[in-house]
Amino acid sequence: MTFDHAFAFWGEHLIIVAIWLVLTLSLNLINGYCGLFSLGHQGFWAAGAYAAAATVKYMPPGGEHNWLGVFLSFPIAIFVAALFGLIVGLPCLRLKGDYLAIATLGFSEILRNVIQNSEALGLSLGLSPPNVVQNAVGTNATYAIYLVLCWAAVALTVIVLRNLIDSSHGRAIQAVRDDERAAELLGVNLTFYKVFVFVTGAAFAGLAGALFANFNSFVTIGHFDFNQGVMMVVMVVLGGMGNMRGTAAATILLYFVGNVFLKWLPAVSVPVFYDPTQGGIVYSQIKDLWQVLYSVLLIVVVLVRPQGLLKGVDFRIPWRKKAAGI
Amino acid sequence: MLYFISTILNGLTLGSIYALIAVGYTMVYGIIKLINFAHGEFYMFGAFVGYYVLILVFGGKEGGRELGMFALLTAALIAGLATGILAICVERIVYRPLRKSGRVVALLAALGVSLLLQNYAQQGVGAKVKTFPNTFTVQRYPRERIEPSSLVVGEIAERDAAVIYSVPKDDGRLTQIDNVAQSGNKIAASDVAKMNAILQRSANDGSAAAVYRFPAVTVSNNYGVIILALAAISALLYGLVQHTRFGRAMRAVSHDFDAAALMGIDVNRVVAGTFFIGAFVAGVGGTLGGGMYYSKIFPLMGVTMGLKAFVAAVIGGIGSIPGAVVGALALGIAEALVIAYGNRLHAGLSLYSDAVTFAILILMLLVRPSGLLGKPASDKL
Repeated sequence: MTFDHAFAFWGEHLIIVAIWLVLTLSLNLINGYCGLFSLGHQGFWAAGAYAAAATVKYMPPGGEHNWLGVFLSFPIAIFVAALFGLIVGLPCLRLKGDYLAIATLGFSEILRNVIQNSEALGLSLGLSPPNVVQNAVGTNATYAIYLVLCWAAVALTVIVLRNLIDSSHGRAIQAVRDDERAAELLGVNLTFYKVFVFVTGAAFAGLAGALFANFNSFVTIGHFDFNQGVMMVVMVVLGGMGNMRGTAAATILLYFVGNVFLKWLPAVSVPVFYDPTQGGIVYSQIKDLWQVLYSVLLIVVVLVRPQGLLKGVDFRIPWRKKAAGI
Repeated sequence: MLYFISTILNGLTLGSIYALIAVGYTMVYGIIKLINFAHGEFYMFGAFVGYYVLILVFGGKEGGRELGMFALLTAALIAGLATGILAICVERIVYRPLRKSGRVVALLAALGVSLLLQNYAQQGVGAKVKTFPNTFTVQRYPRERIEPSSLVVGEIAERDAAVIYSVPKDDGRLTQIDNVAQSGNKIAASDVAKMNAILQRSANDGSAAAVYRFPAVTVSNNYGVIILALAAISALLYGLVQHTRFGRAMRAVSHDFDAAALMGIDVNRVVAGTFFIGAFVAGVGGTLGGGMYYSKIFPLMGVTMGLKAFVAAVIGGIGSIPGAVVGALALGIAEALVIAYGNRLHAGLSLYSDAVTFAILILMLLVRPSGLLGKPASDKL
């Protein structure tokens, strides 16, 4: 592996994992801190990504060096996703628990159906905006730029959400999760905070979408299917709902296990099924069994530690623990 | 008028398949308030069991000879039993330990089971789409015999007309041997040439092929199998729930879980039985709907069907078995109407039937969360 290859390989994974971190941390605000169980985060992500891709592709000067499109794609993606957050948040106010989960899933399915049949958004073939950054500075510099950009986005997400959670608004949001009725009696405006949480979470998903669309310079509806949404929820849940460090740890762990480490496993096939129509015993490569393993992992974690795999794990850095006097 | 009637029949068939899945959703929700996300995968599992029974027991092949109605019904029955047993295992291992945890935790476990079944199926039977073995000849009506010369090259096949070459057998049943110029595609010169070649060949060997034109919406004889299966299963379920000891126990557990347990009802048995019955119906639905009707089976076939069936259960009032059937039939007809008439209102609207389904779901949740036939939720506090 030459330096260029290694740089591209690790660069791409580090960029995508940063995008996932923005997604799971913002989903953690909705699902974890506010207790609104949403299964529709992939819809907000898709809304942002398509908005960004369409902006880069169709913004007036157009062409291979559409810098205006790239710069505008970020605010537009965030705005569009936040708008969808508002559209989803308002009607879902009256729903709770599993009904809310189904309604948010319904919204993302509607969005998927509409995108898939929209001529301007490339039907099911998707959109390929020009990769403006790469056209200007070449491949290696593009990876470097997006690495900085995506991790800056993670930092922004962490700072904004951390400050939000520690503010009085954050306390109100957590009060809504812990006991909606008691929170309302104490003067917490339920409507405002629920919609606010959806809009904020969706806005960050839109940011992730803009980063993804610009970096990948190709979006198709398959990038944002239901399984991606489930993956996000699994990361938040394994991290212990309402636990930013846990969510981040679970995201990084699951991403690298699923996308990098498993590919390094030796080629060992194991029997998985007996099927005479396929000529007897069916074998699978162990690295292909990750999807099966991770569904089993999800079930086991829910059974053994329903509060989350990493809940209660102290992620604080040792010297900060000392400073806090623990 | 004929178009309208075939649309409604189409919708009833689609709705019947939804109903076979929705019944299980609603029964399980009624008893333990769990959205069993894995229920769509039970449908998939049933379709695959039916497929293997037809192939291994009855010696069928993909695209092979017709196996007959007896084989199909036996396969459906075995698929139902196998799916029911799978559901009992899933309930015992995963859902029972979580019965006292929150609903969201149980929902996650259900998602996990659903993912496990999907992913395992992809590894085991492969992600490739399999064609269900033939069980009987599907006949579509209305149909019109045409001469290839009456087709205009370059014209878009009118009103989604599909032109199919068919060989009439002695008893007048048609078997499809090829299919061109489908759904609004342009008729190419090569299509007409191909048709003429096949007609010429069949005239030489005396197999008497002919070209038929079908409108976008047709009625087939396999609709009857699905609708009758739903009718029979609904009647059996009604009898079971209303007129047996087990049914009374089910209603009691659904009404008040703890009180039923205190009255000496073996709630674990009732819950397991409910899972078995719901999954049995879904397994039969998988073989008849996914297998016989759609004839294409693959590991992810349960995802969309499961979601739509869940929507149907919510529309009908989740927890109510008649509600699930009514909601599913209503949803099936609504979808068929959108597909059949959408393009007449606005070009391309027919493609949005999925969006319409979920829009109906969200409207229903907002306007009447208890559904068409459900009881209004009592826990206002």
